[in-house]
Amino acid sequence: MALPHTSLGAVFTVSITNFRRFFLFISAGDYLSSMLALIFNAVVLVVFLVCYFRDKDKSVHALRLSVRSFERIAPVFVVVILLLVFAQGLFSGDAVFAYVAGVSGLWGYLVAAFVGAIVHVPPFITFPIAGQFLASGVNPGYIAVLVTSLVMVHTFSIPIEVKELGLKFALVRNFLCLVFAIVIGVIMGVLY
Amino acid sequence: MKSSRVKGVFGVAALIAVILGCVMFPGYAADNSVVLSILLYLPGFFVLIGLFEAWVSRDFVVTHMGEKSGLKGSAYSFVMGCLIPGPLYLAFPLAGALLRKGISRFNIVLFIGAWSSFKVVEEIFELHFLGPRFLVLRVLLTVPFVIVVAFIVSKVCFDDK
Repeated sequence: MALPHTSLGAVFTVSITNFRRFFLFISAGDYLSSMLALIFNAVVLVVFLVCYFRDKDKSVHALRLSVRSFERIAPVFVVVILLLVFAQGLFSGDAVFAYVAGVSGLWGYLVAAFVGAIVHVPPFITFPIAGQFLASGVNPGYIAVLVTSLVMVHTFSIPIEVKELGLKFALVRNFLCLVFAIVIGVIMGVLY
Repeated sequence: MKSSRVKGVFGVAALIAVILGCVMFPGYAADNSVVLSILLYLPGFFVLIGLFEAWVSRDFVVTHMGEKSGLKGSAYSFVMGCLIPGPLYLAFPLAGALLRKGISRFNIVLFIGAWSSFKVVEEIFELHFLGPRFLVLRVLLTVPFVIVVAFIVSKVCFDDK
């Protein structure tokens, strides 16, 4: 936020990175997902207003219930957000795809599945990068495995899943999705 | 009751601190999409959950998406998972609310599976960047697996509840 009291070179570097970061921040995917979120909020607001005019007390009670459910989940949420930001800071989407593209043979399917399970890349950022790598001639099977496991297996949001649906549910679902991601990718690699 | 209240208030305070921290120090994450999506989606989601819990009766959920709703109930939950936007970790609170209202186990896993892989807006994105051939093949291959996962998980994982 505030400019540090350092040399001109450092200030220049900081402002360059901030500039780049600003454009990363409003990349096409983020823009779309924010628009979608705003539309979603507007729809919920309209639904709430309709409910409010039909029954005022019941809607106020609904708001109280939503605050209560938020309070119930908030401690777990903090942990998950920290984990997700940590995961995003460790690996950018580009680096993940480049790493998987560098592996070859059957080993690549396995690597793609596990990397996709651990790393968190939002779908709106995944698909443009996946498109680039598909166009540059990477094995489509790897990309299918990576996309499927990025989308379906979320290792770092397991705490929320455990809190709401139970530990066994979370572990079995994520494990099955991981296995099936590999199967889907191998079939895609043959058929595409 | 009281201690859970205290825990919740602490959780809210920590959440605000984390979000503020991520907004003020953008240097750590490669992009801010996690924090951005959480900030933008949270209010709508929890208001939606509250409205659902207060307004939708248990009978309604049980008749339309419960154990005896059959194929139609599964289709409803699948379409619902496709249409509501939002990241996967926000699907779980909603799924928990649905489960407490009496949706069947198969349908809830199907809902989460559809939410994670067949979100309509994401599919438009996939069509644009990866092409129709990739999209159609992936969807055709993934639908049976999502159903199989729903079947296995609903049979195996709910004995504690």
